[in-house]
Amino acid sequence: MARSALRRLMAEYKQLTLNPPEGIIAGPINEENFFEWEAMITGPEGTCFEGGVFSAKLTFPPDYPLAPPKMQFTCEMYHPNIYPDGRVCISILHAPGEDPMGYECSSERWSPVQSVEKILLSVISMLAEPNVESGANVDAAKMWREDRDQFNRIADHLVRKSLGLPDTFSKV
Amino acid sequence: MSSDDASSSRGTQAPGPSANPLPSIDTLFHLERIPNQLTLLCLYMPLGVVLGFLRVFICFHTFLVTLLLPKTSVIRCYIVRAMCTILGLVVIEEEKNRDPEVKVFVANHVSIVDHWMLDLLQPCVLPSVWDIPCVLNWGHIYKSFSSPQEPNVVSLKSFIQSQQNVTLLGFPEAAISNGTALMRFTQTWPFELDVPVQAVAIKASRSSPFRDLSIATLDSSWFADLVWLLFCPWTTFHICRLPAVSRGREETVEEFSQRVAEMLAAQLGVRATPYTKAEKQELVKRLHRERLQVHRRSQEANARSNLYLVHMANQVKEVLPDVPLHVIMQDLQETNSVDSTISRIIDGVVSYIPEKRPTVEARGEPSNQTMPIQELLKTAKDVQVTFNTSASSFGSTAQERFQSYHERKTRLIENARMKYIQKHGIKI
Repeated sequence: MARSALRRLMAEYKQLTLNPPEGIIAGPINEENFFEWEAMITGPEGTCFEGGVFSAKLTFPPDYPLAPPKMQFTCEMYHPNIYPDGRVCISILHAPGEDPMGYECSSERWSPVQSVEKILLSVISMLAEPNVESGANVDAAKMWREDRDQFNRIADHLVRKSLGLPDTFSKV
Repeated sequence: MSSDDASSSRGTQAPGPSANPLPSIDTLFHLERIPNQLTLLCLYMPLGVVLGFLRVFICFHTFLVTLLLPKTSVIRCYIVRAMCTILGLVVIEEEKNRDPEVKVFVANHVSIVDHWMLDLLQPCVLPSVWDIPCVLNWGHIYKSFSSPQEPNVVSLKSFIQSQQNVTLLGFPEAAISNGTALMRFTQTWPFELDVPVQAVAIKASRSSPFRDLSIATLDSSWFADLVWLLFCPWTTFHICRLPAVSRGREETVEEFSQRVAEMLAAQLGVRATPYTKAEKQELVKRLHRERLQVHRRSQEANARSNLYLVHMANQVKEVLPDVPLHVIMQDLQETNSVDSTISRIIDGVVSYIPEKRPTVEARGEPSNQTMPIQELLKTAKDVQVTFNTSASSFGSTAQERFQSYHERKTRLIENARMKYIQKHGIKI
């Protein structure tokens, strides 16, 4: 099983290296362990996360692509669908059987025809449009609904942080 | 009579060839229509097809003539015989043992037209109809006497007495053989009628290039036999009537039929074997079973290898879901290895049109999403051309790939940083 997972991951790695969607980089942190990847995703334009490059860790199960990988942001994130510890709660990362939130329909779930690329694209679209019904981060969800300005400020702070730009820049 | 052969106990003591061991039943029949000389046959094919086609029409005419003219007339015999010669059925009468007193013929059976050929020499009636449809009953050659398998002796007797010039014809073998041996007489009605019986030896042959083309095969249909007869240039039937014999007072029907069989076999120069029609049918069934078995075995082998191939193809598909399955199967047939097929596809040795997979968008993202990701990225593409993170090549070693990954990662962050600073007017 692990052999076919490896082959599949290798193929996806090649695909993502040669022909990645814009603003996305993903690959194994160390090829000694092909089941642990790093992914860099750029915050979508026109959103509060615009321009930020966020790093995340993808952990693949040995029976990938039958089972979905796990994704966890390694940088600081504040988003209704991301747990405070960075874990991403999105339907594409859930196998059809599990439904922790009880709101997903199985057609959006993980299946072997999905891929790392699809996951990352989904996460980007999730950054743009949070699903407030899924309360991975209840505070963030509440703030998104009730105090968007404050949310945007926090997001901007995170963008700067991800780019290694100090928060205390003075605007000209 | 020689009784040195153990198997001759069933009445197969033909004087000459009985010294040889009994031939196997397979040798009594042609298993294949065309044993060899396929090239010659191919050359003849166009001519043969035209000839056969023309002869079909002549066949109808012959059929009409046989219907119109009275069965016992001499003119009919001559006309039909001439027409049959055009049809490629040449009858040669070898010994003219014409005996008007004889009311019963028994003949060996080598083709489906034996009775027609004999009918040309002397009008006769075949008291059985097995698998030939009544439409082809040329000039009322057949007549049903209660049961076709074993006609009623009493009605046969009354038929002989009522008809003056018509003879009854029996094929006591009840099955067609290739003429290399005589089968056992299983139809006994010709010997039960208490009238003189005339044995008729029929030899059918084809001239030189078509000598090996069998007249009838083991399980051929009458239709196929007829078509081949019309296709071939000609088929010669040598018909020889033996002197009539009567059943002795002390003789049983069984003994009498054996005596006639030996006479006939001697005349034909072949061996009288104990094989019966039932055994021929057994042989047909056995060969059919064997053929089926071979067929099934090869099918099973095919299915097994196919199953394995499908299994491997699924493995490849798991790795490369957008490669069409038929492309994978095709390549697997060449490589027979999951790994090499995958590397061939990745390396571009195998070209394919990617299958359309249901995309994330098509599956419907969370309901509150308004802007599809593709559009998002399109707008990003217009402005942020620098966010292209693709590598020019995929390194062959882990080291190269790792390096490329890091370079691209650094470049992405750098570009993003530049962009951010430009947009927000930040100075470092």
